[in-house]
Amino acid sequence: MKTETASSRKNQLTLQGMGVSPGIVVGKALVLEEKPDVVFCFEIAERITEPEVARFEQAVASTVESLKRLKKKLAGEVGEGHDWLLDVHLLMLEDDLLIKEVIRYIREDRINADWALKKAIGDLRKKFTKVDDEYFQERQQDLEDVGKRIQRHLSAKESETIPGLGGPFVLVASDMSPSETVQLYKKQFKGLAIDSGSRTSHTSIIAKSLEIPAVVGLHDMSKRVVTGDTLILDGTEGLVIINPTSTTRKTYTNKKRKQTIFRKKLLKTTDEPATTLDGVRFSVRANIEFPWEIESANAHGADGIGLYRTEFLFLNRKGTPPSEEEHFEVYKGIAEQLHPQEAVIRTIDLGGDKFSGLLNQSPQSEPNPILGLRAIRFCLKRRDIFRMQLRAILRASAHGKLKVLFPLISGVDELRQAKTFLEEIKEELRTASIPFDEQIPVGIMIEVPAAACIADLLAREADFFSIGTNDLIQYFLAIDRSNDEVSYLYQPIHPGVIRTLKFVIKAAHDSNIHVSLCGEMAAEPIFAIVLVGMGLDCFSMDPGSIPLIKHLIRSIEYKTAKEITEKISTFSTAREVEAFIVKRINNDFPPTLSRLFEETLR
Amino acid sequence: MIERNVTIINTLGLHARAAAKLVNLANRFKSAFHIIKDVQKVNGKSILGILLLASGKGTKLVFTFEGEDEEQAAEAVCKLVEEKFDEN
Repeated sequence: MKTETASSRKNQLTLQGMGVSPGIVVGKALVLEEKPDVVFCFEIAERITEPEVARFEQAVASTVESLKRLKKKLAGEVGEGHDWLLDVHLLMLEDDLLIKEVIRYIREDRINADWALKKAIGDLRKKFTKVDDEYFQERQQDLEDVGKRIQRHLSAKESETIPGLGGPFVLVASDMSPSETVQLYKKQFKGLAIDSGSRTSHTSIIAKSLEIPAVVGLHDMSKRVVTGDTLILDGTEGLVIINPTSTTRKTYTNKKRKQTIFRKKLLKTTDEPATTLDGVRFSVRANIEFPWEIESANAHGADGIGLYRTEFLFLNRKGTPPSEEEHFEVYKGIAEQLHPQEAVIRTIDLGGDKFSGLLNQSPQSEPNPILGLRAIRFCLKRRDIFRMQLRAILRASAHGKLKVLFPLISGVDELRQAKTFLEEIKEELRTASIPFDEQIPVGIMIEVPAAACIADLLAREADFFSIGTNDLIQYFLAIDRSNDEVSYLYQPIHPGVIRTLKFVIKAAHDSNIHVSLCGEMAAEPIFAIVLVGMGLDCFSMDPGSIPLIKHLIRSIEYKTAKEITEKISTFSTAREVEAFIVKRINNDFPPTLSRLFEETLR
Repeated sequence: MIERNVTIINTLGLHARAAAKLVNLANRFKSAFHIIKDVQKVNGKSILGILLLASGKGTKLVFTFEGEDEEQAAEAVCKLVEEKFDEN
């Protein structure tokens, strides 16, 4: 619970974290006391429907109890007459229109109480929406609140948060899982401020792709803010300012306006190709995970999808994996929408820190999930699931230009197994006369250090590489990317990383295959210059970063970038490398470009 | 069974606060209590039902009461409406 001092403090307080998604927001804080409710829905066996009904009734009883206690407490503090809202909620909790409906769903549909509750509330809300009068329509909010209270008791959590604030909100939380972040829609939240997390944690990546300004690594910020506090969030600088003075507000409103103008300028030229001043062309593509992001990719000038993450298909599900048809609908849509551009579809990277809970695997069963049964390993074990995805990708390839990408490949053996399985599936489709692209390129992620080491051997058996630096750098430097105590060690221009990247790119080119990089470093101007110098064929990043990188590439000479890259292999530390690059930028590049670097420097 | 014609006369109509008072009062009696608005009929002891009726100021409703204490119930409930739910 918050201390009194937070809400009564009127002084401006500035906190420094890591900016992971650019942009400025001036708004109000909405602090999550605990994790927001992610409701898991599943079907239940007949013999447990009655216990489930009982569990629901118990949760309702607990909710009634806690509301009655709250009512008593409020009566003591603010006097009678203000507690009618609680009366309304208490009456809703005994209303057959709600309670009997939930019980009916549990018994008839044989689903868990959480899901039944969600359905019943959903039904009632629809009825409210049909009502003519706005005031009465709004009462569905009360219903929603009641539903949430019951839900918390079902999940054995207790809370007495205050319902209903007016936006724009900056969501403040101590932690947020990727599936929770996905449930944020831009319309509701204008910014995100989290205590934990790091630049490359999945949550940050999602925030960036949703173009929600975000700051992470704020340590105990969530305890120093109260819902309703005014906040300024600067996702570029990594700053959060609580209770800003009016002078500060003015400064930031101006800054925000300038940034908006700059972004608009970049967007004007973003459809032009990324060709250096001395005529070398690079491909700049988008990393996305939801079908609706294709529009964003196009709007930002992407010349294809360099990475399509498919894990979202498995989010918020009942406990059964998506069917082949569900996969197919998504991939077909992408192929058609993007044509004639290409999309690289990465097969599922499930397990580990991602979504193991949803596929009947208990998250606690592996002591070290990130190094455990995930991604391609999981797929080769659960070929039933793998088959559905591969069949869908192949069938969709008849509708556009798709490429298959296998994640977490650690050796030639594994790649061969995967390719053999793919061939079997191709044969299945051929026999059934189902069309697909016979030439569909099959590539691999280079993210396991061992794979990077034998890139030359792998290049002979893969059609393309996609370097996943987010994970590669983690494993390589032995750090957990979501641990903000050690995230300072995450150095894309660590000499070891640079040597490795050079080796991988050369190995690919020696076998005449293309190599792309889909990690966060492709979107950072300083690192992008080094990658240009190494001859990386394709840069893939969140759509929002594309205009800047294309502009950068168009503003430099390949031969200068190459020279810089050659020189930095003589340095011993990442810091020296960075200092050298910055010096060269200031000396050799036009002033407009160095100012650009100043603005985007970490 | 007792039927009474009732008009909602308070400014805010049968809004949440008033509805809560109505239901709490009706619950004190054993009789069944229903509210009819045009062709819609809802259980008068269901707050969600009442709110979904969306009865603003001026709405004409029919209240029905059935049970051993229907006289007292009708008297008390209709009085509450006439006295504008004790709102200023």
